[in-house]
Amino acid sequence: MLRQEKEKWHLLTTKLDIRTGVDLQSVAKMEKKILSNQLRLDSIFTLRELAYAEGKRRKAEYLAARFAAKEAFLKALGIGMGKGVELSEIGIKNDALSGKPSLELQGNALEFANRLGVVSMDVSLSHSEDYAIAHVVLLLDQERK
Amino acid sequence: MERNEIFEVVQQALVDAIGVDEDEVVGEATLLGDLGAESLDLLDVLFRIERKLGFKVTINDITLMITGGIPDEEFGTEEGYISDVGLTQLKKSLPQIDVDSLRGKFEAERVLTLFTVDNLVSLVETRKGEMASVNN
Repeated sequence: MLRQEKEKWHLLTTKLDIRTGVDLQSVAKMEKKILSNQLRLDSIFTLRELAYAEGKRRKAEYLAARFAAKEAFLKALGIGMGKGVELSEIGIKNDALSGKPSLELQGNALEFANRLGVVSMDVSLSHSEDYAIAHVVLLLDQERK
Repeated sequence: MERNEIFEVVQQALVDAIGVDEDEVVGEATLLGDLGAESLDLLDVLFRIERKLGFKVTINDITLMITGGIPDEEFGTEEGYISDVGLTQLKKSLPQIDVDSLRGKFEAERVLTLFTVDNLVSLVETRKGEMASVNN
């Protein structure tokens, strides 16, 4: 059997499940908190996320969208904050050419995802001057749980 | 440091982070419900307390205090409500709660909404005691 056919057959015979999570954040609130200098940004965002937003005029929008993505991911996992996953373990990276965002996980976030049987994940971000929204979709292989 | 001094630190952190009035921050006010804190606000509050007192209190600490480390599948029933095991734990961790009023009708995932200003003060007080014993 060809590899493509094998993969297709595997997908057809695998019991898949889908989980979604969505979150909305106020950009003004994020901006106010960044300006107050009270948030420890490095314990919330990855170095890649901070570097991406640094020096940009729409920094608060970018960070609000990425914060929303972390919350949306936790909602999709079904655990929420405070269950042992650090927010900085959930990161967003952007494709160099298209700019398309994707999730990158480490530590407990990766472990939770593996334990749940996540085989594929996607994220979409959108933001304006007022709000930032993120939507995460996880595809789960029930046999890998 | 006395409990009332810790209360003042917590109160100021809540006023500055959430923008509520000082007189709204009473012991029995719930952070997420009465004071309207969102997750980003909660992080802000905890960072402010850390800066003021010099030790860390995290959202993981809050969850651990509330649930006592009981796994989710034991803390909640199959229907998603707080189980008897969970209610027994809540009696200890959140003594202000009338646990019988929650039986069979309060979702386990909403447990953080029961957390009050007084509960946060108690957690900070406990963490401070732990830090002092580590340093001695």
